[in-house]
Amino acid sequence: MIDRRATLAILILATAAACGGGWLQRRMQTPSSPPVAASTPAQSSLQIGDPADDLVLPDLQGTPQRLSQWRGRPVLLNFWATWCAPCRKEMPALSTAQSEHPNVRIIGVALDQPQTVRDFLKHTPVDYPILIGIDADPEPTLRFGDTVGALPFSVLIGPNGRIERTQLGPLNANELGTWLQGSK
Amino acid sequence: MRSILPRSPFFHLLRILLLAASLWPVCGVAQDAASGNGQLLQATQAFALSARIASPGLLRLHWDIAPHYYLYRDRIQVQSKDAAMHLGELSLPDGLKEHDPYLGNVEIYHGSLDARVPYSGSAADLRIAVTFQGCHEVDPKICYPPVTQVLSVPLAGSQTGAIILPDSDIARRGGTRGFPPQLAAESSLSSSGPESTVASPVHSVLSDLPLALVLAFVGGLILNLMPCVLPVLAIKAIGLLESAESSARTQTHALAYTAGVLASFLTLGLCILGLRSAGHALGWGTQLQQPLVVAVLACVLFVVGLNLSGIVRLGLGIGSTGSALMMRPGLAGDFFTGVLAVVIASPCTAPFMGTALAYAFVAPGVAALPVFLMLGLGLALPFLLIGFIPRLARWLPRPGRWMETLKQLLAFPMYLSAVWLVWVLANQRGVDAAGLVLIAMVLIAMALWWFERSRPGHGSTMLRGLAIIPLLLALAPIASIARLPAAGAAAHSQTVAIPYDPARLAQLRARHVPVFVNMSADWCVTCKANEYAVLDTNAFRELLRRTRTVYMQGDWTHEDPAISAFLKDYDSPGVPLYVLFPSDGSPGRKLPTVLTAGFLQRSLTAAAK
Repeated sequence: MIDRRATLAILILATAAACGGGWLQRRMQTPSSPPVAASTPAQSSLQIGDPADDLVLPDLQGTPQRLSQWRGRPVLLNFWATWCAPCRKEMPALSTAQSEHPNVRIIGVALDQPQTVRDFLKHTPVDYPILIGIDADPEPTLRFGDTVGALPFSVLIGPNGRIERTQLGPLNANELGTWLQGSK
Repeated sequence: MRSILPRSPFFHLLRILLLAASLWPVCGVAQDAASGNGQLLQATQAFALSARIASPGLLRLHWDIAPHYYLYRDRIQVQSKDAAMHLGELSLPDGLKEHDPYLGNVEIYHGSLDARVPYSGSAADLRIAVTFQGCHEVDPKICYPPVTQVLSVPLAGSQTGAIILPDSDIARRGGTRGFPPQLAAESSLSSSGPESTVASPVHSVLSDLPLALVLAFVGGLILNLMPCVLPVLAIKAIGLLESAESSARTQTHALAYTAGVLASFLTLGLCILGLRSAGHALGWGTQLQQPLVVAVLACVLFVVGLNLSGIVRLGLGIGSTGSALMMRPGLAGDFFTGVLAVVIASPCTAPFMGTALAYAFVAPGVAALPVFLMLGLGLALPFLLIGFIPRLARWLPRPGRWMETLKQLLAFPMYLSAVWLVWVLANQRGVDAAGLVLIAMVLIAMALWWFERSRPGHGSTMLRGLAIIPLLLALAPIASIARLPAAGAAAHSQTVAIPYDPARLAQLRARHVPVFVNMSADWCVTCKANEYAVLDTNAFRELLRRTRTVYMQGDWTHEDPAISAFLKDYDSPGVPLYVLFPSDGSPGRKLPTVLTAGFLQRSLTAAAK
């Protein structure tokens, strides 16, 4: 009888000691690694097949442009910036693709300051409209699923306004062809 | 229990300690899992920034740049966040020169980068905002927006190794994307909200060596009770009792053990100092970030556990393994018990130890070593006491049958520690790694079984040598753990598969989009084989892209009514189930359970027409 009670007491004591120790350990432990910051805001990303947000972004003159004005034909959104070398490299192919597929609307969304973009376009003109996406909230790239925030990032939106494809990284001429071929 | 274990206060205490030790992992602290985000790293992971004071008046910034990533030299800027502190000009080494058609000549850095900034002024710490920008240079070739990180580098106390404290990892998104960087730095400051709370650990770091030594000593003492260390020590103590040698011999044993512990801690301290001076941020337990170390430790604990359970009796022949050395009689045996105690203590952190170690990590070189030695002294103390105060040894219970029981009992904390390490590994490298390390354990157990079975008298020495085969085989799964990607790092950089959703499937079919549905589960070997051979390949992704097929995946690892209903619709008793919905809207076609690339190519191409 005595032994049983002793066992119970031991069990309770041991549990308390372990939990106390664990708590102490946690308290005393100085974080050995810096606290990891929340990686991406808990914002839901759209997926393939979802209707795209009806973005309203200013063009180079500052006039707001609504994405839904191009509803009815495929829209290729290309997010870029002047500090992004692979983006700049991709732009001539986008210009070519725009002239080869006049039914598709290619739109470059610059995540950059308007003046920087205007200076760049003077130097390297493109055959498709450019909008400024730097001040958009929520961030359009994140909404479309670019969780690392890197560029270039492209989104193909079908004539019905739904997301058909996304790609992080430049599209080569072949890929552009495949992307735009079916979007009639 | 009563009949085997004598009833004495000592045993009540021992039972309390044992139970506490085995419960520790349950009530203790969970280890954060490393998390990845797709194939591409987050900018702050790709360019890991750290800072320390190189010498009074000179700040050193260090970037660890992941392979295939690079930083732009002229995109790096440093600003003081404190009006009382002034920064001089940033000095950067020469980078690799490249020509950019728009920007002209640029310089970039690969691998790592060290920059120096002189500073002046007086404050407790140096608060700076560092802005940098870089890219990924292989496919997918992408660039990250400029990143601004605010760091707080303490100046008080030591002037050499300073603690690194990025107190905000911010400003990747939002208004900081473009230029000018001044704007970026400002917005980062405003978004770094609860800064004071994060910064507080810096100030809680001790500046007091004696106190750190005391804490280290107490921490080391408590380390004896950690679930992984206790069994080894108990066994050694039993051995000491059993041998019932003269007190002079007992003292030599105790001293040899202490030497082993101190030597290991000294080595550890020197390694940490060396790495720290190379600019790496380290903490106790950093070694556990290496999956390979975790896997090997788990196997070591498992073997020690088997040894304690009496399933194998190592130490009677092989001289190469640590536990064999531990069991070896004589001073070398004692020394290596000390080493082993430190090795298996490394996953554990005892209370009070954290504070002492935090001091050691920021203390100027020489002061860190006494802290490590004190830790070692604390760990070795019980043995020293038993060795040098014979009266204490007399308090210990008499040797007897209970010792065998205790030994076998102590195997269980070992197994629990091994389980904990497997769990850590699963967090680091996913469930595959946990599977691999378990396979390695089984192979090791097989080797030990054969070794034990073919002891002299039962078989020839040559037959006994066959034990080496499963042992070598066990190396293969452990080696492949090192090659596994970090957990969560999916093999594709773009949205390929979307989760199964009946409504979305109906929508897509109504729009005449071809859909390939894959129903699988983690426990389904055929599914995994198909994924490995066909579905997780670039060729398949390319095929999806070309045929504009939407890839839908259902995970039946856990019960899911929607998926069960789908399986029933296609008369499938379970997974895998592959169904292809052609673009012409005709009914879905069930594909065979074993897929080949050629068959999928033909089917998907036909379905897309």
